[in-house]
Amino acid sequence: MRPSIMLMIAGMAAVTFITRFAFIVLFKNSSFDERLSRWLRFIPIAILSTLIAPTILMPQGFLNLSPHNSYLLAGIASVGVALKTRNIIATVAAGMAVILLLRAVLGWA
Amino acid sequence: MNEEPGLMKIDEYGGAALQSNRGDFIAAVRQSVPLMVGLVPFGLAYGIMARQAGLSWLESYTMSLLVFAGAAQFTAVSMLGAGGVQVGLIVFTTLLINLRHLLMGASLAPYLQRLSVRWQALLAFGMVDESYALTITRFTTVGASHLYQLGANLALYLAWTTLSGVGAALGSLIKNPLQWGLDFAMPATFIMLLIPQLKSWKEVLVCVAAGALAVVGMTYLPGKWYIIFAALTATIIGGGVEELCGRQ
Repeated sequence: MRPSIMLMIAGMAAVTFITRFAFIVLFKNSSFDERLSRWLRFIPIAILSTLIAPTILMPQGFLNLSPHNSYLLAGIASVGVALKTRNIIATVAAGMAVILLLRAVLGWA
Repeated sequence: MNEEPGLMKIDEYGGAALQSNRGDFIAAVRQSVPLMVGLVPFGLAYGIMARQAGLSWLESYTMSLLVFAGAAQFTAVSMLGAGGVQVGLIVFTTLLINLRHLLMGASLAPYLQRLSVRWQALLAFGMVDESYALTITRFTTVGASHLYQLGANLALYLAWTTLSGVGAALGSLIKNPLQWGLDFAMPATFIMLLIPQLKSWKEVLVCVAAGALAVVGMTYLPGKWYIIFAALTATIIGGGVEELCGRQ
């Protein structure tokens, strides 16, 4: 282990931990009135949607709404299966099957 | 894992808001499996890229053990690979990429207030996108459980560090793991976690707004800023609409 790399890893570990720990340790019971909780409750939905949208709508880094976007078709399949079955394995399997099929058979990206 | 002492400590607090048992831990590990599968291509790809950037096996593996932040690690090794980069700049970039964790921490904080600082620190260390998604879904639907969060964190930590180590050891023997189709496991799991939360038009509005803003943000903003921009703006939209309409 080179000292400069160890220093870099230590620095990365420290700032990463701080971002994860800060609000958990700083917020106190009294800070959670009903009003703040009403705002906070939208955070999970906002974050999940933010993480999903680009992977499905812009897998190559730009917006691709064409039917040749295999991630978009796999996403639609996953939403359908998720709505119908509420089963996580079925949802993941359906999406991956669509992707692999389109790549293997049709050679889509 | 030394979950026993922690378990007793929590029981002393007797918090009704946080009831955990070993079943929660096992449920978390089981529900982490699709996300662990989703990590396979990314963990391997990180290990391969780290070696190509000139890190030793030990350095590559240690970064995963101590940092445990996929997006930041990818960015760091690509900056190293480009050469001539200051350590300070990489650390600062890591901070920017991980600012999104502040939002996640804020939404988990109400559930973790009764825990000791030591437990809060342990759970915070393992809070990555995937374990956060599982944990907040469980907390809002079934109930808060620190052992559930520990289980999800630990499962994903073991997967990420092991895969990084394997990728760094095998190096370029593995042919482009991102092309296997496994990379879709993560968005598919997130879809499954998201759909039950869309209970009214307000949640759907936040979802659509966040998705659209993420696409705009990813097109025009550098790095991972789109996550903070889109998630924060959509949250404010949701909160604002709720304020205007009153509680349902």
